[in-house]
This record gives sequence, C-alpha cells and structure tokens, in this order.
Amino acid sequence: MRKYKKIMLIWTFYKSFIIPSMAITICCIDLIWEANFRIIGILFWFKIATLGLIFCFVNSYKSKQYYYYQNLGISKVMLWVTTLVFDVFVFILLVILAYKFK
Amino acid sequence: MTHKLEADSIQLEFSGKRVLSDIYLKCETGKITGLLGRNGQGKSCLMKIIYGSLNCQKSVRFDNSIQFEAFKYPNLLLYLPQFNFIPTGLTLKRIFSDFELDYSSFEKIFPEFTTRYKSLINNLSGGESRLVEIYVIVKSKSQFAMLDEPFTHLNPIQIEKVKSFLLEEKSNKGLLITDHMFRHVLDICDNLYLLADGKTHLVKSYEEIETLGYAKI
Repeated sequence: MRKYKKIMLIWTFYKSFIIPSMAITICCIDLIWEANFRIIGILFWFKIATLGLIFCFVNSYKSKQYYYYQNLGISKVMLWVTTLVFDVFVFILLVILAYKFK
Repeated sequence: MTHKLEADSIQLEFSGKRVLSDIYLKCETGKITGLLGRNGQGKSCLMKIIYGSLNCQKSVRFDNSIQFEAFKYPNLLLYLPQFNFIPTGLTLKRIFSDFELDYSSFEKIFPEFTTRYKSLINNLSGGESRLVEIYVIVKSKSQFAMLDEPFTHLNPIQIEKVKSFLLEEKSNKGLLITDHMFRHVLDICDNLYLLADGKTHLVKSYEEIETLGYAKI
C-alpha cells in the first residue's frame, strides 16, 4: 500500500479523537505554564491516563470502524501505536516549546 | 487462477459452552458458498475466526497455506460484517479512492448513486450504505470475500441487483455468504453449509435444510 494512503487512513482514524485529546493537551500545557513547570510529572501521567480513557471509549463506541481499516490492510495495533505515539510526541513537543518561551 | 480457502479444526467455547467444534468449510474461486444457521449457532463467529479477528484453536488455509491472521492481508480476504463499518464523515469519493475502485462502474450498476459522489456515507439511507459496503468489499482486489448478512436493509429491487452483481463477480473470487434471507442465498450459492449444534453440514438437498431444523421449505 502506498505510504501516503496509509498515512491518510491513520489520520482519518486519529481525527475521531483528536479534538478531546488536543483539548486535554492544551489544558495541561496551560496548567504547567501557570505552575511554573513544577507539576510536569503529574500532568504527564494525567495525559497518559486520559489517552487510556480515550482508548476505552473508542474501543466501546467506534470498534465497528476497525473493519474499514482492516479491509484496507491497517491493523488495530498499527492504528493505535502510531496515533498514540504521535499524540504523546505532540504533548512533549509543546511542553518543550513552552519551557523555551518561559 | 483458482484459489481455495478451507477452514477446519475449529474449537470455540464461551464460558465453558462449546459453540463450534466440528467444522469443515471450503470456498473456491468461481463459487458462492452459502452458510446458514439459526441465531446463536456461531455463523458470525466462524467468519471472524476465518478472518482472524476472533482467536481460538483453528486451521484456516489459503491454497493449503495456513493463515492465522487473514485480516492482515486484504489481497487474500475481505470481510463485510453484519453492521455498518465505514467511518461516518467519509464521502463516497474518499471511500472509492481508499479501495482504489472506479465510481463510474458502480454508477452503471446502481444509477441511483449518480449524484451522490460527494455525499457523506452517513447521509445515505441504510440500504444505500449497505450497497456501498457490499460493492467495495466484493469489487476490491482479493481472492475471497465473506459477506455477513449482505441483504439486510436492502429493498427487493436492490437485493436482485446485488444477487446479479455477486453472480458476475464470482468469476474473480470466492464468496462466502450468510444471511437469514435464505431463499436469496439458495438462489445464488453453488455450495451450501448449514451450521447446527456446532457442526457444519454440507447440504445436498433442500429437504436437509428442513431436516436440520433451520427452515420450512
């Protein structure tokens, strides 16, 4: 499968939970900024916990859609690993940027 | 080229209750294989086991080569589940592009979709969504396709069109179909299995369907 098509499919899956996930990320960054980076550890684990909740939610309410991606050659594992790694990467990147601006 | 899909040695239990135990099923290119069975007999489970999304002891072979996770290889097997599986928010244009299919060929068979190219899948009726799903699964390049209740939500005219479409497409792949509208399945299938008491029975005459307690013919 062409790489571009694969990325587009994973992006489509990511869009199904990007709004709550990014909202949580922005709130965490704001709190970290306000607390002068003293609560980074707590909010990092809070972010991971919310991703766990999002995972459970999508598995409960959108699991039927996995067949679309599987019929196109993208497994559940690939969908979750790529989107969760990217989401955590964005969180860490924004924390680093916030630290540099502070 | 002719391909062969075989499934046997399947053992499936739920909470100690044996659901599937004595299974043999064969599907070949150029043939439509029907699978009938009463509710709860394990038809959908059997399809999921063949597809690899439900784990249990099994032997699923494509051209004599064992494959545990067929879902990883869409060129081997595609699966139409009994529910709508296309994510909401996708247009027909995007869906046909994902499956690398030509929309105009679809329009020729189903002219009611002529103006729907840019429509969202969730804006279609239940029957229309089902038609799109059936078409992309059957038409995509793969050796086999399994269809779980394809006729649900379709009106009689759509069912007849789908039957003609499946008969046309069977020359390219092997099709495994299960549906409670069994007369439509009987109309088009070349081989018929009936699932009863966890076992598959190769049905050779319509009387057997009655004998095995599935339906009155």
